[in-house]
Amino acid sequence: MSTEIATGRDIALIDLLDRLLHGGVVLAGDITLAVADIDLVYVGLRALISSVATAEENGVPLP
Amino acid sequence: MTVYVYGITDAPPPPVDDLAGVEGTGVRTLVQGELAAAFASLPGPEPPAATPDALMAHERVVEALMRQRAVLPTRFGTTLPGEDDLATVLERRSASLRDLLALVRGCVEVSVRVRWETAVDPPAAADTDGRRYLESRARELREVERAVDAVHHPLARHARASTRSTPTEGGVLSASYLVAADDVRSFAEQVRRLQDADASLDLSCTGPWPPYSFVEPS
Repeated sequence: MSTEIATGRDIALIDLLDRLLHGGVVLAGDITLAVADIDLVYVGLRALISSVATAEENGVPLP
Repeated sequence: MTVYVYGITDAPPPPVDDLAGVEGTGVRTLVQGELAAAFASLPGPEPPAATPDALMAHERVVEALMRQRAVLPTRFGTTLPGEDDLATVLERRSASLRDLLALVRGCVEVSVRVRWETAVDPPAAADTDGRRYLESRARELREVERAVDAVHHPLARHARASTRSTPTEGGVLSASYLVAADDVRSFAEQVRRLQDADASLDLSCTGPWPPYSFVEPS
């Protein structure tokens, strides 16, 4: 069950990141995120998702 | 000081006093002609770091704007040196930004990803030099294309606009649909029916999102 929840969240977060980092209007300003940084954001959020999934599995109440 | 931009709406902008922005800043608005922008004034020259907190703050501000107005979300990390520069950009790109607002007005974005569930058979030892394996691979690719079209075309007809991007991680379709806000439920039901119709596909659908994928001038 918690795997299903984690999978659903995972997809939603990846969808969100794709939009925030690759979509949206590009105004004439600086887009200072380098590709390497973007990869790190994905890795960081994946770690966050799996820790949430682990917490749920172990019955730790989430905020 | 740096101006960090969340999104563009019609003028007058919606009230933003209660919104919390990136790095603990408040949200401000600027009007230029028929357009308005929601932004933050950051103390230093650097844009916010791409932390989960900053990403979520950006998304929360854009979603709050979207609840009240048609909005063109800006890409995360968009900064300008000052408010004058922001006003200049709005003025210079006024016509195309207003066209985009007209396109997304009353709509939200829905994401659909499709994965192909049938495992690809590895080539048998006798086939490793090729021909039969290549034939079966080509057959499978045609089958995938047909199945993806059978998902994408009816959904695209249901939407005001649609766009496809390169699928990742075993996906065969990654698409965004611009759907009338009142129509999201029936769109999601259609996704469910398409899933029920083809067990070889795994469909996932998320949203409603701000229209991040529909803000490129045509």
